[in-house]
Amino acid sequence: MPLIRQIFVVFFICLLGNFLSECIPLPIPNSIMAMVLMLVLLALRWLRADSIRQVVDFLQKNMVFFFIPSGVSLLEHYELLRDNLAAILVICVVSMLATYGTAAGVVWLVLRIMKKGGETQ
Amino acid sequence: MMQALCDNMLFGIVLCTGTYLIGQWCQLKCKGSPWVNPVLIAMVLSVLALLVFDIPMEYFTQGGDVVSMLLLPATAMLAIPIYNQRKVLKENFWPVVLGCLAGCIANAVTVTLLCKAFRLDELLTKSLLPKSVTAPIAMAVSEQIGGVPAITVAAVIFTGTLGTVIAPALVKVTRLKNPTQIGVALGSCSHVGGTSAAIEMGEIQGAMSSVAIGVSGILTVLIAFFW
Repeated sequence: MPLIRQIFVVFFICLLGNFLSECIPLPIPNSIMAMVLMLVLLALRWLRADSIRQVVDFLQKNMVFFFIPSGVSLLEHYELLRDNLAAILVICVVSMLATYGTAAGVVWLVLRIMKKGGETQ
Repeated sequence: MMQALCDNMLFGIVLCTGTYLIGQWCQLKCKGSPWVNPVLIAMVLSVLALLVFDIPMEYFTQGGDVVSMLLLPATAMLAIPIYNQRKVLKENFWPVVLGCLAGCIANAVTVTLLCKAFRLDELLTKSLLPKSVTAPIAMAVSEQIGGVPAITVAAVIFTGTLGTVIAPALVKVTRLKNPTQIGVALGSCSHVGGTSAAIEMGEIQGAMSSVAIGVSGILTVLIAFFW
């Protein structure tokens, strides 16, 4: 698909997702709504991932880069955080590690249980 | 003069891309070390530039908004690896859902306990609770349970950035091999930040991580109802 058409398709899906997330009373973020829409389009075979390859590759490869302005904007929130900065940082790091470890552990556990279940059958 | 230079949409874009290039160069000079993260360097350098040259945030935001706007289509297009891996997802439905649930609970428990230990007030605790899910959901939940959404956003961004920076090192240190496990762990603890790292590791990891964002988000909203 030519580039402009790819851009149109991708952004139109996002536009629809944004619109739907505003209209539907549930707290579904616009990005998740657009993701769901995209899944539906792929499942119905109305859109092939290959046809928007270039734009998707650009977005995927540079996703980390798009975070930079959010990080910079933290500067604005500095006042709110200043008093408890050290504590907040520690809490974020520790809880992130705890979440990571617990999620990984439970996934492993459930996979093991499933495997054992499969074997005894 | 600063206004002539920076009060436009171009400045923010130039600052983000320029500092990112510097960050990439630094990483290259450190033999590609995962600890030298170009995004982190870009953020720090950009903030320093704004502070040192006394440039108002509003000047930067014009260009910055253009860059961060692209997060929306980038997140939406995560549907593609999810769709490609739908078979693996179906086979691993329970590990993924239960893993996310455990992650959400672990987050709530550790945040609550640590906030008590640091004697932080309840407002702050409530603001920090939803920080491991994606920003829009985190803000909505924060408002719902009586936190300050601005603080929540800061915590979310910090968590996401931390995830991007330490994900490769974390996976290596904990010696995780199973791609489903890696994806779920990264996605549930640091949402899109972890997912962007997961995608670089492989499509299954990326897909699992993307699904974990959604599942963790939903679970957090549900847990918040009962908190």
